[in-house]
Amino acid sequence: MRSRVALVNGNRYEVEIDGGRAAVNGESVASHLEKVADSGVDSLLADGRSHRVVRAHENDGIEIDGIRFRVRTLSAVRERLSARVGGDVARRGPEPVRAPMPGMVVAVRVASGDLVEAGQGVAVVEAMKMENELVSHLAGTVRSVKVGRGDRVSKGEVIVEFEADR
Amino acid sequence: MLPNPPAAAPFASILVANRGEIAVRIIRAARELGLRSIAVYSDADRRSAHVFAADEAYRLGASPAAESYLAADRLVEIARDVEAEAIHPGYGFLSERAGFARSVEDAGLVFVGPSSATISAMGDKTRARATMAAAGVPVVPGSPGPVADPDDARRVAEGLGYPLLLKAAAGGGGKGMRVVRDEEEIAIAFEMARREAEGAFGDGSLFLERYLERPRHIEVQVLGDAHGNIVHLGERECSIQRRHQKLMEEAPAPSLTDDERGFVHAAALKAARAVEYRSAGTVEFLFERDEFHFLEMNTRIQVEHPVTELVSGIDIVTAQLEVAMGRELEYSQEDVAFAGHAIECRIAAEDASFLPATGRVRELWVPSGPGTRWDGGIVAGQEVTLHYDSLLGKVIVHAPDRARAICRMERALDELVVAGVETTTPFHRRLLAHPAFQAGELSIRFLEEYPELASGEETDLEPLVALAAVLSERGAVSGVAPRLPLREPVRPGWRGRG
Repeated sequence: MRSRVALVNGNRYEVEIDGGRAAVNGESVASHLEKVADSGVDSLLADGRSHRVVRAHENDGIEIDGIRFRVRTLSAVRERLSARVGGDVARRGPEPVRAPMPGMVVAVRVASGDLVEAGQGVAVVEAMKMENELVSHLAGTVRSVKVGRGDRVSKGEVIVEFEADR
Repeated sequence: MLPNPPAAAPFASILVANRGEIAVRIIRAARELGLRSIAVYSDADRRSAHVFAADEAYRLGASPAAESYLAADRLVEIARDVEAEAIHPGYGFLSERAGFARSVEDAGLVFVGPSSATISAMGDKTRARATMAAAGVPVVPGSPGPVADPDDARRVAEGLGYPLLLKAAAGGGGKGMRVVRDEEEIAIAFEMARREAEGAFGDGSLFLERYLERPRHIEVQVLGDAHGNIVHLGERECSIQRRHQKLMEEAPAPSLTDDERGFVHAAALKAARAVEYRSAGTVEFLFERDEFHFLEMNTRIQVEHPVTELVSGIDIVTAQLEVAMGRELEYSQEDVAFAGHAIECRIAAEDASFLPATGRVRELWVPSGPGTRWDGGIVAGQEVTLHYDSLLGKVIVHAPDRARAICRMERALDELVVAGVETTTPFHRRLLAHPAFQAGELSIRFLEEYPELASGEETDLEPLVALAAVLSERGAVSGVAPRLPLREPVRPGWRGRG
């Protein structure tokens, strides 16, 4: 028997595969996944229902019937380990503002040391000729601005970091 | 009154100065007419769909649009070198730049579209408003001309009252446009709108218009020839938008009375006649509290033209080409009849927040079957980059009525696979299933009113995702697909595996 944990959009599922049976959170499912070599599209039959599975847009993406999910699989042992490491997230300070898409920085509205309010614009990133204002979701003190006007940024790149609250 | 458009002339070859789905669409029409079809491409587009579709293809330049699809001189030079007799600009890029149309005309080539004079008259949005008001077409109240700076805007705004819309005088498509709710917002909105307008249209002039709170966007397709004949091909509903850009369109517009429909068709004809319109064009209106207001006239083919083609049976791109050749329209207004309901979903490379997504199209399955059309601009293996618009293709369906068109679209979207790039497909599925959409209760604020449409929480599927992830991981490790005996005989549910 093989037991794995899958985190789907942050929700935890236990999947057990034992010879001829599969179970998700204890619920038995007759299932068959047919992989097609070099294809991005697999066929999943689950209790006779046919589903289309598209793997990995990014590393952790999976799409079922055209709907995208973030998913990560791990063993139960690794899950216990990562739970311990995750315990000190609180000390790292507020989440930085990140670029929501790749593009070019056309304006930076804050400098390190600035106090920003929740909802305040910190930078403007242009992508496909549209300007998108990036706002801070919380109030805080800017520790550093990681980009300058004219910089190209990739999706998820840190734009502004904040001081940790004491 | 504008000078008479220059006479159109027959041609046997055409250069398509565009890319993506519209380039493919035009090439298809050109080939069906027996024309020699000529594509141009940037470095990023060397193996893009339009290159495969055309009879010939020539390199334009580097990937940035400024060095390729916006390089007007280079395009005319290529057209001359390869002895193309006509140029079709598609939409976006150079399609509404009067200067480009003029240089095509000056080079002795046929520009597939209206005359450069009409383009500049309608391209300057403040002038267009004045022309339409003079012709008796109702317009949205706004500044009589451009506003010079934030202070000027503030002065004009006082007379009009907030909220207002600050808009680029030179363009459309939502670029260079900002809502201003009060005086304090003017400075930043002005700066951002001007920069966007300069980037997108090479002209930063802005004007003010009253911001309508909950209008519908309804537009009318018109078609004119070089002999003075003008017809309308009915209206389209384009209220489903994000950031002022359309996501889904349908024809006819749901729940209009016959009087309202008749009024807007007549207003569009009035507008087209006022500028002696030649070629395909669109007169856009905002519809609020039983009143239509002229918004702008687009002097080009539009993304959403297929819904009109399906309900009217008229091939608009072919008509554009024929009109440019100097042929007379084969039908008068009485001959134009409408049947059924059509819906178009724009499939764009965007994530759940409608932000541009990139990647390689690893696999592409497109919908087909009864009443189903795919106007695509991508091929499998193609890289989706940030250089151009995010539109990858369009799914268009036609059915006897709106309810059946919605069901047909749901089925068609189930068949679509664009593996490797995130698209707007999940949004469209949620939209089609939404009760307010199904009831035809539309406005251009639809997405703001129903924010749940933007992000799906389809938790029902999560256990399946977990199962698929674990099974696929095992396959990858062992190289052997897991084979589990089925609990009961397989009765495959029908899901896009036609």
